[in-house]
Amino acid sequence: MTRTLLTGNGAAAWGGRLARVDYIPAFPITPQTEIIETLSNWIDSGEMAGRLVMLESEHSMLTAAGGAAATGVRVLSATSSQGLLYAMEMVYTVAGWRTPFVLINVSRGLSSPITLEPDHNDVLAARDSGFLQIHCATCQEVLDTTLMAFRLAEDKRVRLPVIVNMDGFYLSFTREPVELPEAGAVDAFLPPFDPENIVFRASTPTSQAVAVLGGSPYSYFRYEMHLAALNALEVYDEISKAFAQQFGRKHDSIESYQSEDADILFVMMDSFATKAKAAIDRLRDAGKAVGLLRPRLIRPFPAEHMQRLLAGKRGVAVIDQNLSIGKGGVLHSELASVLYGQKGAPPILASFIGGLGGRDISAEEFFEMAEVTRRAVDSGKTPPPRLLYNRDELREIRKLQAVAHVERQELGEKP
Amino acid sequence: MSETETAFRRMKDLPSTHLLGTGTPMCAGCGGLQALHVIYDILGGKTVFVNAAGCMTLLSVYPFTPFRGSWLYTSMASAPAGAQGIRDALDILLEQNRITPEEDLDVVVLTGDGAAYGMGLSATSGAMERDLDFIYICYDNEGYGNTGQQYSGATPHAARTATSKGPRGFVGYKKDLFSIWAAHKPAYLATVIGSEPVDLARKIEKVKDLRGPRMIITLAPCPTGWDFDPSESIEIGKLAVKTGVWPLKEYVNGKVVHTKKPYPRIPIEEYLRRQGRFAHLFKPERNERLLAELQAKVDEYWEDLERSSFGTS
Amino acid sequence: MLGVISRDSLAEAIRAELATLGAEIVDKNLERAESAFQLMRDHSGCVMEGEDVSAANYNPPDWVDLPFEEASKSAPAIHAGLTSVEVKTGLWRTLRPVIDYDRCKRCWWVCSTFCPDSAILVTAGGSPQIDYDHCKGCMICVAQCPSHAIEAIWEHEVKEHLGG
Repeated sequence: MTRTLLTGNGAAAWGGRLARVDYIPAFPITPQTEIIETLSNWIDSGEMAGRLVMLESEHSMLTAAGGAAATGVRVLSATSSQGLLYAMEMVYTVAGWRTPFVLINVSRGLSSPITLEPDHNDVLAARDSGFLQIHCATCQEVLDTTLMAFRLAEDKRVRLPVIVNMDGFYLSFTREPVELPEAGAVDAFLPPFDPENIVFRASTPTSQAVAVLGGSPYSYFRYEMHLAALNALEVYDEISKAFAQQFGRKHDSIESYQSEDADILFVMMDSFATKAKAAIDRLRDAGKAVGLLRPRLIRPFPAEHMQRLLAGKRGVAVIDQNLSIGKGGVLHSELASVLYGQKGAPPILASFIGGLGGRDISAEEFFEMAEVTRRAVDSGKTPPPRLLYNRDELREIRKLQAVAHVERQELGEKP
Repeated sequence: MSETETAFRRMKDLPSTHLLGTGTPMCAGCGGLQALHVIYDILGGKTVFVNAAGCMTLLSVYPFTPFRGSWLYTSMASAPAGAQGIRDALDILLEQNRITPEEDLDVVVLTGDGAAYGMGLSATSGAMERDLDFIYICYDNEGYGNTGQQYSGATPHAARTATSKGPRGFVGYKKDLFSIWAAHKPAYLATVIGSEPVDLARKIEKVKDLRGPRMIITLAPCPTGWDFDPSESIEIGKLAVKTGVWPLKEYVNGKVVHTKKPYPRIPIEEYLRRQGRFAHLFKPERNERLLAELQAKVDEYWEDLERSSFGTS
Repeated sequence: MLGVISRDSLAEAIRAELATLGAEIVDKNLERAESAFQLMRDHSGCVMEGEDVSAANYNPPDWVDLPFEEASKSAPAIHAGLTSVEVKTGLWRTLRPVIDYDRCKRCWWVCSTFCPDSAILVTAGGSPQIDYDHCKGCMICVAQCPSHAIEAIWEHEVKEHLGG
């Protein structure tokens, strides 16, 4: 086992290499491109067996991934944002083929307007597709989760492809200390892929992914995918235990930080949760008992586990680094649906939208969110959803608008 | 492959055992299915057909499939990419002795003109550029057939379709897919038609023995879309060849060679008048201008051929 | 249906819907519709409006909890070849091709090759045999047979023609 500094992209590439992936259909997009460059270089230099093929679009890339998995080899691919959306028809399609593989998504805000830095609208757009999705907050988690994802996807009780998500820039390009497991240990944890009867072989003619006409049979196939995805909750817990036994690191379906004795909790996904943890340490110094829940599994959604962790809590500040235009934060909605009618459900579920397009969330903002939630608990009134956005930022956009010649009416605001 | 080497010299040499199953929902008289059944007889069941959305997607509807071999439905735009994934995976398994060579399959993309001429062009171009070892069969019924025959990149000038019902029919022109594919320098490329089964069989025989991108376009007379009685399907195919509307040619070793030259070349009207999609050229009165234009286009093709130094066989 | 749609409203609908196809075609359709209407009238009573389902007294739907099944079963894949032969597309036919074996010259390759559905089999002796379970009645074989040895017969006249 080696301890080294790796970027998130580097960690993902190592995950693929250690998992002994056979096939990597690829297409470049910021901020994931280093993943495929790294893998490509290893293959070219002979350090790694495997084949990498550049397709001409992400839609084709996902099709090739599914086609290879349907033939019975272990497949890894990577994309982001616009690429994930371009592939979206095939994201849904290949999940329905029940061919397991791992897709690394390096999250990046969606067009329009087109941007580069992270938020979660891209990966959440895939949440209904049948792909499982696991979200990482550190580069170590990226590597570990990639390995677990193969075992999860290939388990007979699941057989669905898995997205492993990391934030662009904050993880993809940032070096963190990562322990690289030894190849032998990984082989013990992750046996070769057994595709069973979902293969293409001359001796066993198979028509895969055929049309199904009629609502009744269609319902069967779709709901079976859902049952398989729900199985993944149990299977994931088994796998994360086995991983902890083998490698000494436990990655639960929901990370809990200082939440046992807290009655106010932050709930958020991915790497910005690390900022929340730092803020929680400061809040505790100031005598405020605040905690954090960070769901790693988003699909399947760990509903029961979440209900147990939130039972008896007084106020929850859900910080969504995403926005469903016309509705609000996705994680907030998901939590509300999980908590509704549950005994002991927190009476206050407040929604904050922060970090869109990688906008930073400051320590002061975390302190203030805790304060707002505390006041809501005391008054019993849920605050309206809030976009984290301050006066300086508003001034800034006005300046940019002036350069862009945007007409605006003076409404008595100070410039 | 010279005359003396081919296994298919006469109709008698055609396969008498039919491998493609009956019971598919293709229209009665489907020219595409007729070509496919000859092709499948020769390619056989050691194949995996990778399909793009179109009429033939309905060949396999759970739990029914007519294939003795394998099949994968992908999407409208990306069948060649599906083929890439399967071919690469089989190669990986073979290289590593994880399967025996007997388990290998030929990968065959099967799409209509909608995918081939339009949405799938990018994926096809990519596959050819990567020198993918696969076969591509395009059944060309000159429109988006499965959705009711709207015009596509393959629709010929003046044809009536569901989206070109005006008095002049379709104002566009049929895309030259053969030239687009030829520009990629594939291992093999040919036009065929089910009504010329010996020519078709010879070309498929060649395809079977080569490696790399092997591309086939078959004109698929379509009773439903072209508006004629199903019984005329083969006759209309023969007329397409005799009038010179559908040249039978191949691209091999960098050259285009015509495998059948209609002589004498009969007037295009003989082909057009049999199809309801060209009825407006004849009734309520003859559209002489358009008929002349269509004839001129065909004449131009064959006269250019005569003049050029290539294309002799 | 009868009692809900009148002869007149049927004719009006046909005129409106098919107007663009021209008077000749409209008239043909009116004629056919009229005879179909007559035919159904003679059997009126076969299709009747059902009773409303009572919400106070109904058979509960027999809901089941769909059991999880592994992808080896629950993926939309067919783990066999040639299952399409179970679909009897012969039911599509209104016309049936019948081979006169006295005229047939045993050039099996023409009809058998041109049949799009692979529904003409060739025996060991080189004799073509039509698979009537699957023949769709496209009549290509009738049109293409060089010795005109195949005849088209209406399905509903088959019994008479073949003598029982």
